[in-house]
Amino acid sequence: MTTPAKGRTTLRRVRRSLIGLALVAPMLAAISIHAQSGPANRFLMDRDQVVALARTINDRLPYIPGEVLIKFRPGYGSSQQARALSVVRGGVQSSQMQWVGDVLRLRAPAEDNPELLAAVLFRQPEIEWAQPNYLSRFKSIPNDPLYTRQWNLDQINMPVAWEISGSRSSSVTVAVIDTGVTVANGFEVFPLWNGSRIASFAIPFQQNPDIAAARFGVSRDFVFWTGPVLDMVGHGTHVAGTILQETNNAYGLAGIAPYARLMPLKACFGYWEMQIVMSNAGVPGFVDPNESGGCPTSAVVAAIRFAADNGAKVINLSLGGPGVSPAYLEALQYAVQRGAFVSIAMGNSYEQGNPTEYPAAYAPQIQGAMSVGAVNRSRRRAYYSSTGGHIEIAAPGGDVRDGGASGLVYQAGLFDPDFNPFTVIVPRFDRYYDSPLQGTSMAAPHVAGLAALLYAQGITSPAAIEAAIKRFAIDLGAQGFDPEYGYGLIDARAALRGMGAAK
Amino acid sequence: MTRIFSAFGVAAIVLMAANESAAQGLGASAYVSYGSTRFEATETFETVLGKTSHVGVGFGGRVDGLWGGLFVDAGVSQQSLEGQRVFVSDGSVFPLGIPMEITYRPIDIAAGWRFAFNRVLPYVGGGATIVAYRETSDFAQPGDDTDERKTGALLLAGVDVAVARFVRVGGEFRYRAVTGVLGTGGVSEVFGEDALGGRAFALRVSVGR
Repeated sequence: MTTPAKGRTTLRRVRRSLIGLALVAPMLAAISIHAQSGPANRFLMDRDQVVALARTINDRLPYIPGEVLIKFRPGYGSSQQARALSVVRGGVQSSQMQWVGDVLRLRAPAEDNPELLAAVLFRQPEIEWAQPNYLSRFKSIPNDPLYTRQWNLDQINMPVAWEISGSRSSSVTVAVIDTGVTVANGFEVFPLWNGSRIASFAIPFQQNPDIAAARFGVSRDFVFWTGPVLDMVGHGTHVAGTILQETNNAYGLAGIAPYARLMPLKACFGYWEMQIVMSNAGVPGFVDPNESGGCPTSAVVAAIRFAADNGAKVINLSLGGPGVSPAYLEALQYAVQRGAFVSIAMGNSYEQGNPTEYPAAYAPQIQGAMSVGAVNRSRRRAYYSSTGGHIEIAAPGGDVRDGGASGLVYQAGLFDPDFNPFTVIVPRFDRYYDSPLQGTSMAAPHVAGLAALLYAQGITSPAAIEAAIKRFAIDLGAQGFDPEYGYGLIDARAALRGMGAAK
Repeated sequence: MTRIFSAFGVAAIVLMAANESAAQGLGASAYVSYGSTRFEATETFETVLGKTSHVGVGFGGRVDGLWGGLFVDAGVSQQSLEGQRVFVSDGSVFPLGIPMEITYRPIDIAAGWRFAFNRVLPYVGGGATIVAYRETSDFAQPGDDTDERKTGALLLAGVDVAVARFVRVGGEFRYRAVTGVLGTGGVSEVFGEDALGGRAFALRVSVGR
């Protein structure tokens, strides 16, 4: 099996797409006279939540104001739980509560600072822990391409790994908890602020043409609406592409586990989702386009549990943030106990003070969850990749400072100019191109893809998958474990070959 | 291993005490053998091969009566074994479905003393063994496979029964103590097994004087 070379074809496709954009734009404007979203689907955020989220984005807060996640100690009934919640200023109505497994998501609009509220709640004897509902950020940094090249797959010895694995990975489901991977084709009618008023627009969506529809499994949106999962950022699409994009099909780019099944779980939102839910709630105006959105802890935790309960054997989390989050820890433990391996991005903030990020920081505590740092094409730590004693493994993440555009990670992604908030009033999400990104977001799916191959090969325990990835890693940096590379760079071929008697 | 060496010593003393006719004429014979080797690295071979012993064939030659019952013996045997690569973690074994093949070929050179009780000819001896160990598997790249030779100690004991003028049949036990190929990687490292040798039992047919 070889890695397909596809650059020129893709560039031609992109040029055609640009021409198409000019032709289609007037049509979109005409469609905008239709003013209703689908009757069967509803948005998952009410006006109060939308306003709180808009504040989170525009004020760059690490949490959603007025929201906390609470876990009660075992053995306390509803009356005792209600007593504990009586300390919340303004009281608590049932409409303010939502259960995510055994974790309560509480909205307390009267208490603006969730860190203060969590501290007060934590002092109640009935409560095991309480934390703000943080907004994790997805961990990629977009950049523009000059040409495409998947150096990243050669770096981890994928060509031989594909030969070893064959089509075995068809038995494995990988959950991508991210901005979503579009599962529907056609138009969705959404309300949008067009600069002067809120109107409805028919927005086109298209599945990634380089992932066969038959490979999509169960999907679920935990953050935006009850309709089909839609990616309006491109991050989830890129991440999923690294894991399982079609390979050796003479089209597009290659993925690591090209037969695995995809479970797209949307727990993150971006600019356009915010615009839509704001408009749906009757809130005019634009959110800050520089803030690309985020992933509420409540949604991520719900998605992790959903993935584990619905047969996912591998979960990818290309997201994180600096807030300590017991909710993340317990969700990860839950998933691993149910047989799912979890790959988690370390974070991209090395040059911003290198803060410890969660959920990556929990990975060393859990055999079966791994925190993943990024290396560039020269096998050195990417400039942005966070370091620390909690890093476990490294994988290609791209680095524009090492080879320019050719040093980035290319996968099928949504065509950026179609939804650039600085230039577009009405976006479209139906065109794909070879999207270059860098980040530990891009490194984590390499590990997730390898985990899927290892599971299919016969290593069916998350802890054993972690052990195999570590054992066969290529040691980088200081000898043995070190805080820049963990146990080293993943080696897919070596991990899949496993052990003989002597070697 | 110490017990095996002690047993050989005791056997030699008993046989020498009971020996009826130490003086034997000079003679040479060739032999073929068929028998089973039980590898000392039991967990390693059980894991990758699903068994700890394997049958194989061998052949060799012997010169007897060099000085009394003194003989020299040179022989080679071979086992070819098939298994699969695995991953071992926390005591759990995960078969990976990647075929592998092990070829185990000891070349033995020994000297010893043969006793004579009419048609029954017991013997004990010791010497050196050179074990050629080759391990190959699918999807290997240069350096992945193993092809090494290691030298170790050999003890042997057996008994021949003369069934015709130039034909003897018998049984033989050989113990090979070899280290150096196993124990530094793969499954053998996980289990801490570095012994490449083992115990071999074989039936022998010798032709010659």
